[in-house]
Amino acid sequence: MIDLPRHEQFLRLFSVNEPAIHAFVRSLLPTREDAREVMQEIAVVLWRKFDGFATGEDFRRWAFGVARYEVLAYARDKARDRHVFDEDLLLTLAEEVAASEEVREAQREALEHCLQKLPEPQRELMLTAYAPGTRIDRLAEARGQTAMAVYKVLHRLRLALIECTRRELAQSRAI
Amino acid sequence: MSTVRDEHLVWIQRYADGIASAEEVARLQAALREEAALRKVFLDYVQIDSGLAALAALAAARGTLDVPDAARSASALRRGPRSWFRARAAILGATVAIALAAGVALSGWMRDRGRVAVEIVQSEEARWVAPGASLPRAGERLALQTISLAEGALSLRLEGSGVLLKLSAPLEARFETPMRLRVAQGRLSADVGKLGIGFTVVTDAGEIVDLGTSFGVEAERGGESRVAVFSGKVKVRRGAADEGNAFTTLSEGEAVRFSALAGLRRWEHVAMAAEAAGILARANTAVVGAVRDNLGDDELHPFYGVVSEGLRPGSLAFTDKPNPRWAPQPEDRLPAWLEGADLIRTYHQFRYRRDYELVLTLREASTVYVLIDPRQPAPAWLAEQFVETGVRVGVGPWQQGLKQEAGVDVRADGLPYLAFAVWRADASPGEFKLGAPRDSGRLNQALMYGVAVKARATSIP
Repeated sequence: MIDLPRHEQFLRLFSVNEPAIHAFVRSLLPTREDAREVMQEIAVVLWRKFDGFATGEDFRRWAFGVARYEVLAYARDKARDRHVFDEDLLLTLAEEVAASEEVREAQREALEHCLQKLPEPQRELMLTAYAPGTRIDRLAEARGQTAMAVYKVLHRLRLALIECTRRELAQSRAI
Repeated sequence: MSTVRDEHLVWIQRYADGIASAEEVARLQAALREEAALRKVFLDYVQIDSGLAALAALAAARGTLDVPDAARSASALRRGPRSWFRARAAILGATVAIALAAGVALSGWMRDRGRVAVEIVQSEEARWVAPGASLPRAGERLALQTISLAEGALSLRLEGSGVLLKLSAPLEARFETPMRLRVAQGRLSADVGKLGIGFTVVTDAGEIVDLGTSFGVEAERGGESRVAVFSGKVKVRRGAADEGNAFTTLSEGEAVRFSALAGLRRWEHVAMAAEAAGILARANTAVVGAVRDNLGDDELHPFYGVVSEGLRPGSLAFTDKPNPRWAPQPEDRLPAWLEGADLIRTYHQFRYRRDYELVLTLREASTVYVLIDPRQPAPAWLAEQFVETGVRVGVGPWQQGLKQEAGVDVRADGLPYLAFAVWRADASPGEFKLGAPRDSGRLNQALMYGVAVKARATSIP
């Protein structure tokens, strides 16, 4: 029989920490599709191992450990794919993401605010580009642009958002 | 001094967008190994990328993001309409994975109950969660107890009751009895015939009891459920059966969201199974982008159906009544300039509201038509904004009681019919406001008006 309270505890912890785990995984893998695939595996493994997770333990830190292992396993499977970083770099990045998680969390919170500051057409473009099922080449065609032109716009907007989140974090520290 | 160069940023962008060449990845990798400052920029960049994906999924889930079909992948289009549910499914991706993880334990939870005989009517790229399970095929007969759908959509007919269920992944459910389905998470629509009256869907939020109808449900695990009634009636109550909460009856066109703790609330995002309902709450092709009233969310109110190009002979006039219909018989004719207009199915029950306001959001310059009972004085808002076209459109049949009234046409079928006057007004894109069906007198003697809208270029009488 399933231990429902334990299951609910897991669901709560997982859903609260999912954005951080996803961001961690995304930092280490080349595409959003890769990250999605590995996230599914991570969820399965976390639940399987949840019996060994002690109440009071840092779930995020524990989940990052599992995620790092799964990403490395995925990267090994794709060892011939030259778009995947080598293991030594993945380990360095994983360590640095985990070490800066507090800042990263604040950055994720600031992002929503910064996105709202974008002019409406740019915000809509950004969200449409990232919406599930969107293809950039089709989006570009619908806008009468080339895909490269759309990628460049998205790149500029991302840089603007990074800058904005940095300012927001600096201001919040000043307060 | 920063060692991050423009070309580094280009490599990062191309890597994050999945379009970098192997050579560019190699260069980026070498630079990342060397430069801690670049690694920080890189991590900032992919963190933003991850956050944007989450926010986009959330916006789609909230219905505040409308992705044009032209921008979507063929597979995404094949999966179906871009509804609230589809976007939600993306957000719940990880939870699906948890469900997969929990599969073994769940199967034990469900093991001791009876199974229900079903026939698969249609499979739309459906796949069970269970690893290695064969793909469901149309015509296949199964004895099911648990339903764990990983992908696609599946239509099942329950043997005995004839209840037709359309299940859309990701979904987890189990039959508690042949007439009681517990949905842990996911969405379904049910079409219940006479033998299926009483079919009940149970979610973590409460119960939905079918009274012979078709309806749609979406359930979140441990959270909120949403119900939309396409035809007939259902009873809904929040919480577990033994909590004794009262049922609320929902009729055709009504939609609510509810949870175990919160009461019933109006649910406006019902574009979801609009195809099945023939009611488009937010039609993609309609001139009318949205419809709302001023009655607020504090009481249970239905949504307005906007049927794109829906004004046809025999089309239903109101959302809350099985009759009357516009131009119901061959002797009734719709003028060509009016036929095919977007039809807003108003609520007849709101004829009582003297302060009633109906606000249309028009996507382009349009002609708005109001079809109203000419036996009652035209309300001021109508007389001021609209002009009468002189055209009458038959509408009926009405309730028998109307036969005693003046100006009513009792036809060969013995039922009362009326001819409604057509008024028109040109409107610019944006909001356009209508009011109560009459200004004075006894409102319970008034009849509700109908509304139709056409893009202006094609609506000149």
